[in-house]
Amino acid sequence: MLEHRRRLLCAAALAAAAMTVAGGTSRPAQAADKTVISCAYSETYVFDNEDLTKKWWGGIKADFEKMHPDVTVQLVPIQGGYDDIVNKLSLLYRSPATAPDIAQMATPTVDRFASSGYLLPLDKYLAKTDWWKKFPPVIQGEGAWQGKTYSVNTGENDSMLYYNVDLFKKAGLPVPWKPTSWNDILAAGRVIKAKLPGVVPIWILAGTGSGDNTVLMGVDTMLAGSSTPTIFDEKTQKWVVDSPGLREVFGFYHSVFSEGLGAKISDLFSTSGVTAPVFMIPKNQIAITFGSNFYGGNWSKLVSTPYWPQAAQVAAVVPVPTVNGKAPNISTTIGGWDLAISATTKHPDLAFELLDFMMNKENQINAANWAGFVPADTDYVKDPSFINFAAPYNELSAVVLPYGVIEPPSGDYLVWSRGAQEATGALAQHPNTTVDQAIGILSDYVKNQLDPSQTEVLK
Amino acid sequence: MMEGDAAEKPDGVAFLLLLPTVILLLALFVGPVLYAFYLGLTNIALMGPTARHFHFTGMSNLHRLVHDSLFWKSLKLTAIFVAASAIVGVTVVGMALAVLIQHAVAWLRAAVGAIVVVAWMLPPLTAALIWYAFSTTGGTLSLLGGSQADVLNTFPMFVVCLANIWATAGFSMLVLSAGLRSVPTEVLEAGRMEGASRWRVFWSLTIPIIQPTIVTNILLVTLLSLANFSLIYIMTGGGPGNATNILPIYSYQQALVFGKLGYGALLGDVVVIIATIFAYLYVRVSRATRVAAA
Amino acid sequence: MTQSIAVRSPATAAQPLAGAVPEETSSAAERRESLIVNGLLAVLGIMFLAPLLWIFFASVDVNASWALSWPHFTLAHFREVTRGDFLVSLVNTLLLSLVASAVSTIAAILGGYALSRRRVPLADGLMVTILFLTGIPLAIMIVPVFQVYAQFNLLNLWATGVFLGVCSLPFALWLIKTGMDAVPKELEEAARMEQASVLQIILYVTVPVALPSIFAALIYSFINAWGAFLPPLVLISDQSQITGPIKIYGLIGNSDVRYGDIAAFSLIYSLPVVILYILMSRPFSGGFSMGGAVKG
Repeated sequence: MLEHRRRLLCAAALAAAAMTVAGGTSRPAQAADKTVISCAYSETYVFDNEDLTKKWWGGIKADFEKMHPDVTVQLVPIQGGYDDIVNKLSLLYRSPATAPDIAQMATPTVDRFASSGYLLPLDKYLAKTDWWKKFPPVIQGEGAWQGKTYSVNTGENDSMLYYNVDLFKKAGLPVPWKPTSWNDILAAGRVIKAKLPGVVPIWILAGTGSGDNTVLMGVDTMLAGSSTPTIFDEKTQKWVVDSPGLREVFGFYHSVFSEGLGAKISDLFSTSGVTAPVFMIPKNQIAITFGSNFYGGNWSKLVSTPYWPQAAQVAAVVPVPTVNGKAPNISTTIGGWDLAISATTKHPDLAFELLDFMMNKENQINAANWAGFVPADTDYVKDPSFINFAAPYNELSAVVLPYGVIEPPSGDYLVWSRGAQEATGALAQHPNTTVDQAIGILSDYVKNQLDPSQTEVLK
Repeated sequence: MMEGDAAEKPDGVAFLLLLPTVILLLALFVGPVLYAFYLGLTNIALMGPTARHFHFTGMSNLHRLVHDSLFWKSLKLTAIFVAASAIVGVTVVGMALAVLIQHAVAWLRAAVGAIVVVAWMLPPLTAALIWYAFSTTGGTLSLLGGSQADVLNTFPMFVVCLANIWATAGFSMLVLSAGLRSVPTEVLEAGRMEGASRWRVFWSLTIPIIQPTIVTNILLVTLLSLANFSLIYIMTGGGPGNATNILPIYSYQQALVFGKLGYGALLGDVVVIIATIFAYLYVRVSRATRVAAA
Repeated sequence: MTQSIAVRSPATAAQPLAGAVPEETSSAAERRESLIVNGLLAVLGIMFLAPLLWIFFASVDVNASWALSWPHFTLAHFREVTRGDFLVSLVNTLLLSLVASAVSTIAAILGGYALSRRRVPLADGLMVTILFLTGIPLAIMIVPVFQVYAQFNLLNLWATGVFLGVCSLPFALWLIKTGMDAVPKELEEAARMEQASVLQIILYVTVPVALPSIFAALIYSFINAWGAFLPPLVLISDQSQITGPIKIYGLIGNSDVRYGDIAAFSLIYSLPVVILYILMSRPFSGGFSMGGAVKG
């Protein structure tokens, strides 16, 4: 600190010749004889809390440096939420001087980073590992672009339906509950509303407050179980802005909000909408939640977002059913976080060695438990240290995973997603919004942002 | 302003004195702005094939701008935000505060002055959080209208305007107070002598005298509000349903959410052009006042 | 510069009547008037105070949330946000703001003097250009600036401070230039007779008299940098150099939104600005009210 202060005085004195200030005080150089591998990752967004972020990445650094005394692992944590991480990373990649050797990135962004020419193809390295072949094909595919693999997954999130056993019993609903269609969910919600005023019958995110997460856990998850799950039509290369499936999904939202079964918009539209149920479910404030697999881990003693020892008895989970109960009757999206190596790295072999170390069983299961992930490796998901960390949630999340649908990798998906956020926001805020109007909002939004010729209607 | 013997010939000293300013502004202000104007006409993207290998695309972004219905909506919202909060809100509230403070008892003057100025000096992020908490369900404002009232989502534009007024009125108050203090008391007393009411004196004597200050204040507050990003971004992110999506937010959304850096830069350029128009109008108005005064 | 003219003419016109005001205003009417004035001001003051309630309550509330409620008292939030990282981020914000205000004030004193006292071609046009630069959204400059900084390895606290100083420079220059316009030239004449150099004149003659506007500019630059959010988020890459606003933003983005910590840290983070106000408002009250700088 003292040294900083002295530097400041220096800086103030030189401020008239301001251009020299910055040059004179650049970061101290690393010890010259050590090889530096830099790792960029999210400080607060990916792991359940900042202490766990530090624990995981700090552990990686300490262990790897012990194995390689001549190597320094430089940690570059990135602040902020999803968009901030994407932005900062894409700026860091713009210059070889700042491009991190290894970066953690959201799976839907891998294609965009790869197509920018920022990432190193990993195929020749992956062929030699024993873990890569155990990844389900859909997850391997997340890191692929134009026939090559650019990233490896370190854990996924998927969608599940949570219901509060105590509230269900109080309302006279059968427990265990096995909804087989969306109408079953609405029917249970109606009973809750009638019997238990003050409880949110059905929590489903809407609006723009939580960005694409709203769509991932809501519209996209349900669309995956609708009669037409397509968002981006690969054949025509067009965005679907109206389809029977979309109308089924918006119809469900319309029922929820026009019948007063949904949550307050101040909760739904807030930036903390994604995590609000983690706090509200233990307080018996929500009966049924369209949620994510990460809730369970957050209630564990280690994470203690709130520690909830009764979780397993009170909050039960089932897969999100499809619209009409078609087998296997599981609807979910998946999205997670990957690791990639920079195309401009000076030490590709060493960087992959570090990446390989991060992918070992202990590190992967820790990452899964501390960040609320399902590990990609089909062996790890069966390990008791994963399953028992948050029972019964982790087990079901692994069952659901292989049915997962990934969001279209094109950057324009965010435009479609924003349109869907606007549409659900309108349905939630103005309960008299019709399904036609909601379709209109999505359709107009995408047509205005992209071009009418890039959209299509599925019959 | 250029009388005095030192100013008779153009001199190297002036050049040297201006050098740091000119270098700094060119390198870190004008340069980036000009570059942003160029980027506004390219297909540069945050990520993807055109992230680094972008090129000039002529009028294509402009064409899109003209046909972008959200841009026109955003432009309208920007006008409403600036007019309501900057021109009406801040100037009227700032003037009310300045006048009242001039005549209030000392302790009240000190207390209210401190609150209002601190509200202005607070970091935008803090102000945004305070106003989010103030106007969301269960917040102070909603307690007045029944605790479940969601004032922020029901009247989003109204609330963000109030927040901007709250966060900027202190600045206006300081500027206008300085103006009021410069009005010679003799003038006002003369007016009172002739039997005019305080209100009339204020309207027909004080206001015309401090008119240049008022015009300056409006310009500054307009410029500060035009560039305002953090407050609305944190409070509403431009929503709900784009109800508060003013141009700086829309520009940010295009550039850094959708990754369309080129189009985002063009939207930012529109803000720069609006600011230029205001500055030009300001010069015209202050010249007119100067002529009228002379 | 225009206002002095505008002020003078009615003032001269009123001259003969000055000092002849009779002391006959009825004290009852005066009392009623003062009651109205003080009452209105009190109401306005309460309206400005109301939004602040939440931050005080939530910062000491065990169960803090966005809602306003009577707190179950705790100091845990303050303990939490005054350790380690948080403290470092505040020191960083201070360094950033000091660099920014030093850069903009020193450059503006020199430049302002030149524009006020020396012959500068196109000075009027320059002033107008400088004025409208105040209204440029930072967001559009951030990508170009990032690219330049990345190229020269300048993605650090100090260079970001310089950038923020430059962002405040147009307004600082404008304030100081107008402030110096009001300094009587005779003062400088005397110094010039004694063979003082230009820098000496600026430092010992002009600056002391124009001090109120210089302080106004200094404070403007300081609070601008102190509250800056986007530039430090984008331009500072070293974790040990991150600033207060980024820390608060991290707290909001956390899966576990810690309302009490947010409120407590916001309060601590706002404190220097309040102290600045208290320190500056007394000795430099004229400068705080922008002195003569706003005469247009």
